[in-house]
Amino acid sequence: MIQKLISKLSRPVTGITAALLGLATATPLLLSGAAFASGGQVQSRFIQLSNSNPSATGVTYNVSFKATSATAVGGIIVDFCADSPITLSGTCTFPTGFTMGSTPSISGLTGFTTNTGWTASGYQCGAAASNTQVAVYTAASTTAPTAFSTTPINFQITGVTNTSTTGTFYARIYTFSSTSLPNAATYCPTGTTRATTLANLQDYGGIALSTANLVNITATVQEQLTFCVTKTSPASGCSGGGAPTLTLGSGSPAILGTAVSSDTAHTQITTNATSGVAVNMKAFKSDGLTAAGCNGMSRDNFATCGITGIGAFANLAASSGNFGLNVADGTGGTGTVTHNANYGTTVGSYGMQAAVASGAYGDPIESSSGATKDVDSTLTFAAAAAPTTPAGVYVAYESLIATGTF
Amino acid sequence: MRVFKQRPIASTVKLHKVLGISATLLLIGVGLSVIFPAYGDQILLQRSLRLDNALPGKTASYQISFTIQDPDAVGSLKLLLCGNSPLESDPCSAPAGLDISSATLVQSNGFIDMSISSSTPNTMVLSRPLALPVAAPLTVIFKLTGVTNPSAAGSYYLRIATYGSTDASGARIDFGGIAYAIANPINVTAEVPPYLLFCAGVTVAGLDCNNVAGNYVNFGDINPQSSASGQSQMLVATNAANGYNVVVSGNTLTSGNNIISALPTPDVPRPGTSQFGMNLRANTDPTVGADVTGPGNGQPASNYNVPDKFMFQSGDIVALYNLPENYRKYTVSYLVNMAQSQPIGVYVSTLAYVATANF
Repeated sequence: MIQKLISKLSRPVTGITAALLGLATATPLLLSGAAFASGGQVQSRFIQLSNSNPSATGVTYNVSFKATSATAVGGIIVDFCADSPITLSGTCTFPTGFTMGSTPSISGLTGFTTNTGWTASGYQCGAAASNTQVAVYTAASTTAPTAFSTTPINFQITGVTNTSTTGTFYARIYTFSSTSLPNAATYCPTGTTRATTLANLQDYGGIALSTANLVNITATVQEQLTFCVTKTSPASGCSGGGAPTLTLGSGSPAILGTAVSSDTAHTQITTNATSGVAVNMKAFKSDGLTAAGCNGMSRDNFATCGITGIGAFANLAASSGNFGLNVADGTGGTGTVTHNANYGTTVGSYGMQAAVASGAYGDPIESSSGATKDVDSTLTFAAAAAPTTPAGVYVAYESLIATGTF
Repeated sequence: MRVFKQRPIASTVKLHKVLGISATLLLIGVGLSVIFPAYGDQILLQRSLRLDNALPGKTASYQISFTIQDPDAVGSLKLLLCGNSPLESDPCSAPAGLDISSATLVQSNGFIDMSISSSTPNTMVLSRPLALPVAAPLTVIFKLTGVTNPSAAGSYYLRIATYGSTDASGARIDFGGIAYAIANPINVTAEVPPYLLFCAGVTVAGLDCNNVAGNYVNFGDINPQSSASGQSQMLVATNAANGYNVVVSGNTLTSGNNIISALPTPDVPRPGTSQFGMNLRANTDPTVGADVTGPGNGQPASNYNVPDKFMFQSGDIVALYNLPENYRKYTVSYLVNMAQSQPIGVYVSTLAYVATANF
């Protein structure tokens, strides 16, 4: 019985379907003939968004199209819809979250003989209270496109909040041959309905736009501090340079007399510490224990301090029996490493504060205020025996402590 | 027919109590969530790790500091020391030689109620009795002593995480990484040899043996009526632990077989009497000589240390000191008198000064 009914209905249904298809195909033709009486579809049309992120605020919509003729224009309407770009379709779904504010802000008009005196307003239509879905741009008096076939009409709607929905939405553009544009009640009788005919309509056109999620790019940079102490200047990345073993004195084997003798070591600092790096120097015994208050050199594992630290930065004189350090400002690489004032760069002068031996963290000798890469500093150690300096082999073990603040 | 089973009164009371407690707990929970709002997942700022000894394998103290940005309810901290990366997402390679398991917390600012609750060679959990909100921004500084540094020089990393729990369990709140460096020491060596500086001459300008001049003292024509005098200088310095002495050796003035007798003991000038002597002082009779100068401490030997009294005996120590000596300049004054009967002639003496250091 059911099969019989289907058989009976199948032929009429097929006929109705075919009729509807024909109507759908014919609709644009009918509309062109009825509603779009005087103009045509605007060409080279686009709306460029300054930010396509859903719900983005403060977005600028750059509207551009070419008129179909030199006919003077009295106003422009731009309507934003979620469902279709078809002009005069009778419906328009509001793009969720979209707004141009209570009154659209339109500027930068070009393409007309008179580009000034235009007034921006808007229609709420499907938007929430005090918001607008439709931009209305009205000329003070009709004005013709400057060169309709070559020069586009262009303006910017600013302060737009994008729809919160990711994906495609649409704009419908209408131009009018009169400054008497349809009012809100005529244009959108309800939030989702639209007029199917518009008085003084000149040109029209639909545009597809799209919102898209931002591409999130994440990169993690790890904290870095590469610090080395070497005999000679190391290559990039603290490569090479040799162990920082220094010998003071002259001759072979080297003998320290009353004349000043010096030798150099190098530091290299690479760091991304935002607050820079501080380098302290602290004296130790060979076994890693603190140097018992001796900031100089000792011949007996720091039971005595035969060659004493010079103290404040000053000239290190022959026969002084002093030991000191001179720190040159960093060179090479990227960034700045500067000496501490107690270990300045005056040639022949040296410093060796008591804190080198007595300070919990030694004494600061150089620092950077920010990130550095491969900055090389020369450390010059010098000593001169006094006539009374007891004979012996003197040593000093200096630990350089680099502290980065990230 | 529907049957209703009446709940016993006791059970109802219990249920009410349970509901009441639950409601109270719920309220407390709501209250806590209001009082202690959730923040978290921030980077700990101003992070630093300061060592008092950056030598490989040595025992050091680690002072760790950072700033918590939000008023999180922090109950514990977890420290993780790695040899490969400060990033939370990376696996952690324990640095060879590093050991914080025996470390002691000796200083704590910011979290004064914090203590070590567990540790391994490269991890440590520091706990608070309660997870109370911090007064953000809060700078936390604490110091661990007795940490054994990694055994090799290079870059190492500390990862710090805060937790709402008191045992570093559950989701962490904030995180921060720190890079620090272990570096080899600078070894400075200098050999100071045994040292004796000594020079003699008519003059030694300043305290520099490069400035020695002359070796000939000429008394001129001497006569019985007045004393003749002259002087020379010598400079001494040594690092000998037991000091030094200077010995004079030579003969008195002679001319062929004729001699001018040396004074065997200190004596004043006696014109008309044959005398030859010396001392190392400033004299007024005759006006000659100068007292010892220089930063050292040596002195003339007692027999040669009295102004206006002179003597000479070959082999005598004329100057000495028993400790290392800084520069010391001596001026030797010579006195000559002659008797009326002294034979005519050219009288000459050659004196040698020998400095001996006692190391």
